Amino acid sequence: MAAKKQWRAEDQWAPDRVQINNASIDYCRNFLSIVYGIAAGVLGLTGLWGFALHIVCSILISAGLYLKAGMDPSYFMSVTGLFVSGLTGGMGTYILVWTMAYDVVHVYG
Amino acid sequence: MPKSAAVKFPFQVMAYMGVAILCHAGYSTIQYRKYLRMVGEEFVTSPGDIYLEVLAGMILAFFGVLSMAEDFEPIRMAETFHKKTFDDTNFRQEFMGFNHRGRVLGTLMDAGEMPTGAGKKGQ
Repeated sequence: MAAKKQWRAEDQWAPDRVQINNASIDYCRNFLSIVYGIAAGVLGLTGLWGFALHIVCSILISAGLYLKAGMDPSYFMSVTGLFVSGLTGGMGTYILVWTMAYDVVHVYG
Repeated sequence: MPKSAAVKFPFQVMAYMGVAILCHAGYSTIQYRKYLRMVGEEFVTSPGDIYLEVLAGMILAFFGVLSMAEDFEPIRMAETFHKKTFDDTNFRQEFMGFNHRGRVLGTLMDAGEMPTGAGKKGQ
């Protein structure tokens, strides 16, 4: 088994910058979760199709954020963390807006 | 550095246009359902143009929001060290003294004894 990677002084993160990046990531995720929630509601997706759209769109958002950073992993604490936290992070907003949009368009419309 | 409003504005327009297109698609769906109720059919799936409209709204909002959000900053502290100048690191305000030869140089400059380019009153 390979030796554990030595921590060097150059690897130290600046916490205020991590916070700035996380604020930007959260803003993008929330806005796009709302957008995709409206899309899911308008299309009339129910059940597993809606969650499938959420998973696909969340991966797309994470890939877009990675592209925005210029495919450079040094802007994120961990790239897999970026993709994984996107799945659960935006889910609440997505479900809320999806339910609302579905109600407006298909139930009460 | 945060982005200025002028730089963000076209992308904000793009993102909110995407949302507007989605809302318009929702309105189209409501009208389509009303039509189906009048005709007496059940709602199975939206017509194709609504799918296209929703897709267009999603793509527009996607690119708009990602361009509109603030740029990322490098998070490793070592990345910022390359941009630091000598003045950033060596500035100690309490250690700055002014009781040195520069005072005499200042009076020489005013009298015009310094060569041009350094003096206030030189041509």
